[in-house]
Amino acid sequence: MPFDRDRLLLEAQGLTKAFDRNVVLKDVDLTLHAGEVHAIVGENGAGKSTLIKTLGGVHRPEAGKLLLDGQDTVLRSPADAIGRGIVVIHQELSLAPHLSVAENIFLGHFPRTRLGFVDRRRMRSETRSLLQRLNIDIDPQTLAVDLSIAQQQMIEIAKAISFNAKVLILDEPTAVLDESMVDTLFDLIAKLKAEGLGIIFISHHLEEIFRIADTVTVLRDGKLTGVSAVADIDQNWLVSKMIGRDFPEFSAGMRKIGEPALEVKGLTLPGVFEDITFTAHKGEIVGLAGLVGAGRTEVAQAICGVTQPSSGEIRIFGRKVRLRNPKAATRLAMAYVSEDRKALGLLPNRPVRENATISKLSRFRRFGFLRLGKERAYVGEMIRKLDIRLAGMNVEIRTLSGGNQQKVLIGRALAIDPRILIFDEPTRGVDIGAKSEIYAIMEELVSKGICVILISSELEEILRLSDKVVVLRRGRIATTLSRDEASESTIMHAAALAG
Amino acid sequence: MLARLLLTLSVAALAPVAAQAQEKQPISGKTCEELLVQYKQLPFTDILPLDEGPVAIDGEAKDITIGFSQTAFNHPWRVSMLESLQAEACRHPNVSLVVLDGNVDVAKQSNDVRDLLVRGVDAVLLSPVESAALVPAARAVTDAGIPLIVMDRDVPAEKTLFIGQSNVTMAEQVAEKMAEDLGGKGNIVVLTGLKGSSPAVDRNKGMENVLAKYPDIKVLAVGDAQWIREPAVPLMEDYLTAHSDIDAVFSHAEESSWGAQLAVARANRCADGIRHYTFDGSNAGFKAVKEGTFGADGNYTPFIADIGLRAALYQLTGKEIPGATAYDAPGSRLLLPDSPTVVAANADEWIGRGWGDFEPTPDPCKK
Amino acid sequence: MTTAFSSNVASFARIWRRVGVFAALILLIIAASMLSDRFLSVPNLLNILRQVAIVGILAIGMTFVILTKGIDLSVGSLLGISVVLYAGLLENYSMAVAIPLGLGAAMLAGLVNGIGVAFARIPPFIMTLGMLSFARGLAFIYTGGTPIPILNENFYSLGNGYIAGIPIPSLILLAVVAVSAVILSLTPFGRSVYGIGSNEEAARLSGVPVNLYKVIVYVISGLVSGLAGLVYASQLSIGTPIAGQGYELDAIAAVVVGGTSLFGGKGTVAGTFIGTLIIGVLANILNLTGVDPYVQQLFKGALIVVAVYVMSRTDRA
Repeated sequence: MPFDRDRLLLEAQGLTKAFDRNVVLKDVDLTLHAGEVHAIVGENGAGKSTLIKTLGGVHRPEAGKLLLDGQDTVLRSPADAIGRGIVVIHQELSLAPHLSVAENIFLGHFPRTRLGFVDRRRMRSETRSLLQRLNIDIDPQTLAVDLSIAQQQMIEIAKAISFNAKVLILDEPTAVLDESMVDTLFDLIAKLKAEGLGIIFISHHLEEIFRIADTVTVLRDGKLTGVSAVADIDQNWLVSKMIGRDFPEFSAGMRKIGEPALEVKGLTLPGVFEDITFTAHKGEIVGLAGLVGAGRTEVAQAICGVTQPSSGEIRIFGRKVRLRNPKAATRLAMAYVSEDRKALGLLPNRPVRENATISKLSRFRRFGFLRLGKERAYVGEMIRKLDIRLAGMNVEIRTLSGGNQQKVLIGRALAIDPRILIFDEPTRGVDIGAKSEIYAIMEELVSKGICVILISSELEEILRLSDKVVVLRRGRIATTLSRDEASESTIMHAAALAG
Repeated sequence: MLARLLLTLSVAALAPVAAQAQEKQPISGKTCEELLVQYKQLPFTDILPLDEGPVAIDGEAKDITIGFSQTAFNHPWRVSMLESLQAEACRHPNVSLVVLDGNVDVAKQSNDVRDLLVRGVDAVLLSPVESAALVPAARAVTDAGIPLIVMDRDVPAEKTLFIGQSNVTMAEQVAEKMAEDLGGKGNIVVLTGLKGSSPAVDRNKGMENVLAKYPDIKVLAVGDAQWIREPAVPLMEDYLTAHSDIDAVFSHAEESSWGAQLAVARANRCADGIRHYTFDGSNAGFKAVKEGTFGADGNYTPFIADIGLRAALYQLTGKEIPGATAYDAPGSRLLLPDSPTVVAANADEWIGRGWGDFEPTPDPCKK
Repeated sequence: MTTAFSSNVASFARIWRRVGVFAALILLIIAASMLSDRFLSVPNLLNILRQVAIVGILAIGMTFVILTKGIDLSVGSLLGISVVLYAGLLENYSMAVAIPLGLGAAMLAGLVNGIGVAFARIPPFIMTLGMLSFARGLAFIYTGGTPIPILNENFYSLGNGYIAGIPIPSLILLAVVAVSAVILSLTPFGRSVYGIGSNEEAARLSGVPVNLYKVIVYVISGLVSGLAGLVYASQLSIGTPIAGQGYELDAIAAVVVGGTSLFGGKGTVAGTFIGTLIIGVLANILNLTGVDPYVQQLFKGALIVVAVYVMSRTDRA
C-alpha cells in the first residue's frame, strides 16, 4: 500500500499536564509522520506515561493542543482515541485469558450471522488472513492463556490493526521479551512501518532505539530535553539527556570468593529441566543465562522450594536439604526475587511497609504480637538504604514505579537476612536510573559475602555482573563459562546453537 | 441428646440403609404404630370416610403408589401435613407413598411433579409453592390421565379436586375476637407472614374486612416477620420505641407472636397488657391461649392430607366424592369447614388436636 | 509525579475507608434523630446494638474470609446447626456441655470448609455453598423439622440479660470486634491474612503458610457463626432448624458497606462493625417512622449499591 511519507499523522504542541499543583508534563511537542518509528525515552517519572496517556485519551492536557491529520482534536476517552485510530498497547497485556485468539481480536466487535449469533467461521477466517498479513504464525483458535507473553503482545498489536489503527503506541514492548522474541517484534514493527503506520515506541533499552527508531524524543522531569533523528546521535547523547550519569563500578572478577554456599547436583524435574549441576560461592555472582523457556526460572523455583524436583540434591553451606515449600527456603536464609512482579511478587493493594516485611514478620514479634514501631523503624531504614522513592511507607505498593516496586521486593528478600539470594530478571520493566541502583545493591551484597544467583535475559547485565555464567538450553546446562570465557557470542552460541 | 446428635450423624451417613429398614416413615420419623394412634385425633377423618385395610381396584388389591409433592419440609406445619398423609397410608397395606421436597422453589417443584409421572405413580397429591407457576406441571398430570389432588393452596388448572381452608374467613374470626376484646377501639400493630405469600395476603385481607367495620381501631404499623421469631423481635422493639400506646399485636404466625412478646418483656412493657392475636393452630399455641398469653389462635390445621389421599383412592376406585362442588376455577373443590378459632373458652377441647408436640415458650412476661 | 498523584488518590480512598464509612454513619444518625424524636434515646440505641449483634458477629467472621479473597456462604447454616444443638443438648445437659459442643460443631464445619478450600482447592463459593446446604440438612434431620423450645433459665438470661446496663449480646459483639481487630492488625497471622488476599502466590513465595492460615480463617468463621448462634438461641429461646437462613447475604452486605473489598486484601473489622451499624440504624429508623416493609427493601438495596459504588470510585487510582 503506497502512502505519503510526509503526511503528518499526529502533532502535539505545548502539551502540559498537572495533577493538583504537580506539573508532570510541561510544554512538550511531538510530531509523528506516516511510516515513522518515534522512540520516547526518559527515566521513570520523566513523564513518558503521562504523555502516552494524554495521547491515548486517558488524560486531558491543561494546555497545548493535539492535531490529528492537521485537525485540532480533543480526545475524550481511550475509546475516542481508538475511534480516531490511536491505539496504545500497554505493558500489562489485557487479553482475556480463556478466549481464543480470534475472539480476543474481535472482542467488542464480533461479526454476526443474520440470526445475530457470533459468526465464528468469519471471525476465524478474518483472523487468519490478518495474522498472515502480519506474518504472525499463531492458530486463531489457540486460547490466550496458552500464548507466550511475546505472542500475546503480537495479538494485541493485531487487534489494534483490526481497529484500523493509524498510530500505534507501544509502551515498553520489549521489557518482557527475550532477544529472539524482540527480533520477531521488530520484524512486525518494520512491517507496520512499511504499511504506513506511525509508531511511538517506548523503551529502556537504548540499543533498541538505534536498531528500530527513526526519531527519538528524550524527556526528563516532564520536560523535553532533546529531539533528534536517530542517525545523528549516539548512546552517550541519550544517557546524558536522560540522567547525565553512568552505571556504578563493577567488581566482577575482582571479588573475594568464599566457601561454597549453594551446591546443586543432578537436579531433575522431568520435562522441565534435567541434570542441573553447579556451585555458587559466598561473595560470588553466578549468572544463569539462556533463552526464555530454557528452564532458568524453573530451576530457581525448585531451589527455593516452590516446586519439588524429582531427583538430585541441593546443599546449602555443605548441608544437604530438602525444601518442601518456600517457607523452608526462608528458614535457611535463602530468598528469591521473582521475575513476575505482578503475579508472584507484589501485594498490590497493601502498603509498602507490609510488602517489605511479609517475608519475616517474626522479626517484629513479641508475645505473639507485632511491634509496629519496630517495623516502621526497620522499613524506614530499608527505604533509606535502598533509596526507594515514595510518598510514605503506607502508600499502596501498586502506586510506585516499577523500579521502586522492585526495590521494595528486594528489601523483602533482604528482611530474612539472606545468605543466598536469587534474582530473577531483577531489572525487567525498571528504568535506567533504578537499574543502575539495583546493580549497586547487588554489588554491595556480594561485597558482604552473600551468594547471588542472577537470572537475566539481558546479556549485557549478565556479562557486567557475573563471576561465572551457567548457560541453560532446553532444560539442560549447555555450558558453564568463566568470566574470561563469557562473551555475548559464547553465551548466545551455547544458549541457542551448540549442545 | 448426645445420643440424638450421634443418631443424626449416623442417619445422615446411613440414610439409604435406614430407608430400607422401613421401620420409620421418612421425614416425620414416626412409625406406623405411632401414626395410627395419631390418626384418631385427626380433625377430618369423617370427611370421605374409608375403611382400614387393602384398597381394591376392580376387585383386585394391587400395589398402589401415590406421589406427594410438598412445598418444602422447612416448617413443622408441613411435616404435620405429611404425618396425616402417612397415617392414612398406614391404614392401607397396599398403598405406598413417594414424597418429594420442593424446597420452596417453584422450578424444583415443577420438576418434582414430572418426576412423579416418570416414576409411574397412580395419583399425584400436590401442595404447591405458588399457584400460577405450577399450572403447566398440573396440566402434565391431567394429560397423563392421572388423578391430581391439590391441597392447601390452589392451582388454576384442571384437577380432580382442590382441598383447602379459607385463610380469609379464618382471619375474619380472629380479627372479630380481637375487635371484641378491644371493645371496638384501640391501636394495633401487624406482623405479617412472608410478604407476598398467599396466606399472608389472605390473612391480611380477612383482618381488613373486619377492621372496616371498626373505624376506631387504628393500625399503627405493619412489618414483615416472615412467619418466624427472629425478625419479629427487632420489629416489635422498634414499634414499642415509636409508640407508647399499643393495645394488641395481630400476627400471622405463632412464632412471630412469641418474638413480639419477648420484645415486650425486654422493653419492660409487660404492664401495658398488650394482647396477641395469632394463627397456626399448634398445640403449643393452644396452651398459650389457655394461659392467656394469646387472645386467639386461628386454627389453620395441617391435617388435611389424609383427606387428599382418600380422595385419590375414591377416584381410583371409581367412587363419587361427596361434597365436591364446581367453583370459579377449573375442576372441583372441597371446601373444609373452618375449624373454630381457639380462644380461652375452647382451648382445653383443642389441646392435643393441634399440630406439633413441643411445649410453648414460657411467657417472658410471667417470669 | 504521576506516582504522587495516584498516591494522593489512594490515600483519599484509604481515608474514605476509615472516615467515610464513619461519616456516613454519623450523617445517618443525624438524619434519623431528625426523623424521629424517639431515635436518640438510650433504650433505642441499646436496642439497635442488640438487634445487630447476630449479623454483626457473622460479618466479623466473614471479614476474615473475604480479606483472603474467599467467601463463606455457609455462615447462616452453621448458625442454624449450632442453634439446634444448643436447644437439643439443653433438654438434658447443662450449658457447660451444650455451648462447647454447639461451638465445636460450627468450628468443625468451618474446618471442613477450610480444608476443602485450602487443600482440595475447591473454590470457596462452591465449597461453602455445599456446606450451606449440608449443614442446613443436618439441622433439619436433627430436629425432624420441628423447633425445639429452650426452657433453661440461665441460657435465657445470657441472651436477654445486661452487664453494666449493656445487653449481653451486644457485649459479645463488641468483644468479637475488639479481639478480631487486634488479631488482624497486630499479629503475624492477621498481617498474613491481608497478604494472602492481596496476592496469594506472592504470600506463599514469601514464606507465609498460606494453606494453614486459610484453614484457620474458615475455622474462625465457623466459630463466630456458633457464637452468633448462641446469641440467637439464647435470645429467642427456640432451636429452629431454619435459624439464620439468608443471613450470609446480610453478613456480606455489612462487610461490603463497611468498605472491605470483595477482591481481597483490603478492609477492617472496624469498617465492618460500622457497616453493620449503618444497616441496623437504617432498619431501625424505617421501623420507627413506619415505612412500608416493601419500601424498606428498596432502601437496603440502594444502600449496598451506593456504598460499593462510592468505594469503587475512590479505589480506581
